[in-house]
Amino acid sequence: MIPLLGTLALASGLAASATGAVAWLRRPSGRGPALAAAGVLCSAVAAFLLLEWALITRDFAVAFVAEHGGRDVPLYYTVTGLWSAMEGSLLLWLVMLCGHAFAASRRLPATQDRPVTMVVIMVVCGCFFALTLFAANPFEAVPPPADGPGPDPLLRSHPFMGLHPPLLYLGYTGFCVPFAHGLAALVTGRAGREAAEVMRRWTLAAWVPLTAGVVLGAWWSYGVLGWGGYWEWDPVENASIIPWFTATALLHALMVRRRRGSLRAWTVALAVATFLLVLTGTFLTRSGVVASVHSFTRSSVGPVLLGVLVAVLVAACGLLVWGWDRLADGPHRRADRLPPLSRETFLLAAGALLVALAFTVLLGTLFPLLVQAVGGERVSVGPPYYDRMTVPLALALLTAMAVAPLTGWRGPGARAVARRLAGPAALAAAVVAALGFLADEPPVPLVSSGTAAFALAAVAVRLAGSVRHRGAAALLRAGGRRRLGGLLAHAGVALAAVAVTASAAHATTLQTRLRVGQTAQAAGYTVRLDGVDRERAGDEMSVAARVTVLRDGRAIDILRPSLVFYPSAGGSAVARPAVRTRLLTDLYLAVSEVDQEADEVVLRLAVNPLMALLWGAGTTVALGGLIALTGGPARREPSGWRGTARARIEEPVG
Amino acid sequence: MSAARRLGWIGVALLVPGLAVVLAHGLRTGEEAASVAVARRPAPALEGATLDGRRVSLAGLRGHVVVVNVWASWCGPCREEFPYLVETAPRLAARGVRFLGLDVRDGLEPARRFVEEFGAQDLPHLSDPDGRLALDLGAFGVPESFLVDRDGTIVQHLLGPMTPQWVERHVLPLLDPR
Amino acid sequence: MSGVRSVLAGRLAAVGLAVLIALSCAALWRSAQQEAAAPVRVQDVAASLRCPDCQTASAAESSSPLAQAMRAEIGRRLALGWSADRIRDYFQERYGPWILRSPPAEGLSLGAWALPVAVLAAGCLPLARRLRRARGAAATTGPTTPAPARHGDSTAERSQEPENATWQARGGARGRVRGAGWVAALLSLACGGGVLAAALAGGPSPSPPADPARDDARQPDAGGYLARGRALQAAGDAEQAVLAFEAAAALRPDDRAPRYLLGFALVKAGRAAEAVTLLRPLRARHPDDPDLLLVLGTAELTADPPAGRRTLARFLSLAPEGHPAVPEVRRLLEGNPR
Repeated sequence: MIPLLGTLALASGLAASATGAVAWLRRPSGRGPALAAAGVLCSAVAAFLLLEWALITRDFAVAFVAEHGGRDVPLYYTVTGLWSAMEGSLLLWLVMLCGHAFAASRRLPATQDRPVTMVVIMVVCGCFFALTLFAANPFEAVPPPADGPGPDPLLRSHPFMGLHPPLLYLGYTGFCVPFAHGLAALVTGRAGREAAEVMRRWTLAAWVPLTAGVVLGAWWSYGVLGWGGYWEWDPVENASIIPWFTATALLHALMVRRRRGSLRAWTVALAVATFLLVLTGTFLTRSGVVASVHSFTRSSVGPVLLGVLVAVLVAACGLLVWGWDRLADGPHRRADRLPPLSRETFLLAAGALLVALAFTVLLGTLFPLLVQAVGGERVSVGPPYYDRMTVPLALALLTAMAVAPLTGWRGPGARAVARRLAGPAALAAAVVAALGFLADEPPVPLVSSGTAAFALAAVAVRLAGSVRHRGAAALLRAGGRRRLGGLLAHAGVALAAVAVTASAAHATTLQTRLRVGQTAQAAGYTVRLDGVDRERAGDEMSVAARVTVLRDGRAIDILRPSLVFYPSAGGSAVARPAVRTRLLTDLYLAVSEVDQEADEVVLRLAVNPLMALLWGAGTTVALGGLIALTGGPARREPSGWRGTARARIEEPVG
Repeated sequence: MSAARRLGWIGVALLVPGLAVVLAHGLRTGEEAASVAVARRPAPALEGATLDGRRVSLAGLRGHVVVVNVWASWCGPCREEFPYLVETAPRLAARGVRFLGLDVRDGLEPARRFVEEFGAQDLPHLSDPDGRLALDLGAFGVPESFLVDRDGTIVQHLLGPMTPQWVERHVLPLLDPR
Repeated sequence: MSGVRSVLAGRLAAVGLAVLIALSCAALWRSAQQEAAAPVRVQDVAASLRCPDCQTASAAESSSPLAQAMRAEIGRRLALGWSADRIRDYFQERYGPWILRSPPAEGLSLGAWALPVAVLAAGCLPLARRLRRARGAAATTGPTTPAPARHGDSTAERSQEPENATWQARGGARGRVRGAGWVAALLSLACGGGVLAAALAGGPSPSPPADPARDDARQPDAGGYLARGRALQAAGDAEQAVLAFEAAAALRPDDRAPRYLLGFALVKAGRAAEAVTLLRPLRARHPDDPDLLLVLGTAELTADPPAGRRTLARFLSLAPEGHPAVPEVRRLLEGNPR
């Protein structure tokens, strides 16, 4: 029954998308298009719910349940099991995509480019319905086995499994709307102030969950993968950070466009590129082209997905070429004088840096494939490459991020800007001097800490200026929330830079073999192996090391890192680390081997500083985006913000 | 349209198909399936003590075709390949091929037991308890075999157990016709 | 009076800032000196190299045999006075550029280093051009007073203008038709490209891996063998599954799970007796492990039925609540009370 209903839901979704595309093209004002959009969403939700139902009721006649369900899997991981494999995660993707499509059909202003936007969105929906239906149908009927293996062991050991993929997908699919809107601008040639506002809103609506998804993804790998780190420049991680870079560049370019009316073609190109990068990333990680720690899914869907990707790529790039000149800045605007210390200068520089970052990460991910395709010797691109390339770019970006809000659009003059930057610069210099002379830090952490301090102080200066000028209440009103949100996001990025610097420079790791009763020491902590416990619960068998944590000879905690094995799923045992999180340091324990006879374990021990700050900072960035999203259009203030008593700025800082 | 713009478009026109081809190629081969082919290079001297205490070196076998087999007693697939090895080595020896085992990161006792179990005591096995020789040779793991020609050049590197096909395809052509 | 004081304060602040910046520069210089003088650590060199017998890990973090060997070898060569670069070259000669975790800055791999810089330069070029123009203009019109008329409200008006003007200029029947033709051509090109790419990617591979033996024989680790074995078993190839599980069991002598899977595969392959010989020694050590009893019992049921029934009965008494195999085994024992 469910196989039939599910396949029907997918087919009806495909039909509704096709109808919707035609309806939006033919008669955008009637009721038909709205109905079609609703139909698309209903089909996706129905398919999603049917598969969830099949998983929960353990209907093993459904292929997906037979392959990824299990009788003894707890309810939570049964529900999240839907997105633990290719076919099901396509359904989650569809629900999110169709949700955005429906919202767009309701909320997009009824301008000339709305029909084109909606046609593009409907075509994208149709593509994914077709992909799911024909190449990765989870609803295929199979002879029911007695029990299934359950989801991949790694995907059922952390509660974030229920948050991270949905948020990430919500972000990914959300970029479909700015993408479609950009293509519509290319087709119709309309790209005015109102269009910029629409694009900003929808981009931000996707950027917030993407940011949250990326942060939770790092947190999840920290809590699950057991190597003690949170970011390994793995293809799956790269696939999520690349569109984040371009989307961030887009948000800032849109500020320039709104203010100056320039960069219309570039914002459109960034909006189109962001979704294309989402699709490329999805292809890379879902098809098994690149080996990854998290590639849980390899299937025959690769060629079809590549076909869709190439078709969208060709169509979008063709439209960009075709429509570029209409949107491009006229010669008078390109010849415009750009005051060196104006906000536009720094926004443009930040845009260039963000695009360069996105390009670097994309190139690094694809480079082994590229070399292989032209027949070169095999090469590896690992964390040393990414660190070396991205750290300078990120530091420059941090500086631009700090300076831009302290300048004005018209360039308030070098003296005024210098006056505002004096405080942050003094703090940065003090931090560098203190860390350099007192803590003997190496140069890279020194420069990073200095830059982060500079950025943090700059945010504080800007915030203080805003409050002094307009009062704190104004920041919470609709007009001020954009500014507040932006500053909060900047503060979060600066704090994250502090945390990343600290954890990169000062993490202590140690791998050691311990017998029961033996101890190991790292960074002031002593751990003692007290015993090895074997347990069996549901369909999982675990071997836990009972470890007492001592500090200054006093026992302060008992941690139980374990190895978990799922006999029904087979495969290797997965580590389940135990983390003791405190404000300043994390103690991270993971078991990598257990010798049961000898009661001996191989323990990986890491002491990571400021991890809590990292998660807090990431949350702050997302929260800032959320606050900015709720803000109304920026009001023009009658008079400018005075940074200092004497430096008057000619124009309000927006 | 300015020259820079035109250049940009040509770039896009090249990039899109290029990306498509790279991705399609990647999808066909898959990263792991790609061969870790190592170009021909001179073999290292590989000098050390054997399991039974004699001194042997690969350099001393110059002038002969040599098959270096990397193994360890803790390695499962080595168990699979050893009977074939023990059977093949004398046949190849008759045609001038020298055999050299390299026992990697292994205890002396388990290694000796392993050799006795398969009756491979007649073949020389270098003991490499710290893995230094294996790294010098360029081994990725166990079991692996290297084919060294008469000039002391590594000409083949087999990952995985030795098979009759490999011997036929790569070792026999190096020998004098009979 | 207050003017004088504020000028004084400003001067003081400027001097203070200058002192701080000078201090921070000194700190940076000192730390760069210290770093240059610091001895190279084994961990640092190992972190820049891949471990030969793992999937993605570096030689610094892996505990595989060859990663351990590499760390020892790096330490030995550092003690001999080798530089980090010379050690990297040593490994690259043996393993190719693959062993380096960041591509070498030579040949084809130079692209990985140069292209991002080129993209950044291309992104900054227009900015630099406009800034240069700005400086030239500033020289003629005076320092910080850009003409407000160019930026103020007139900007807003101008940005609105294309909304209608361009559409109308391009619009009308001819513009639309030309547009439609273009779009149609583009769409067919896109679909064609998509189908072509899918066909390219999906077709049979023309170049099989260099050595056919490699594919079958070489798997990265025990996990890989286990996955392969399960896939083979699902595909009904029990003999090959046995080989895969054997390899996995050999690689993980301490882990009993691969042995259980091997036992099942042996039973499926009709080699139940071998499964019994494999598993009976384990039972001596772990008499109460229900999973072991289940596999062993199933195997014995073919090879030695009375023993098999005893083992399975013991399994029933020890199996935890809700073990998936319990109903099946119960049916088996009750339906066959010989």
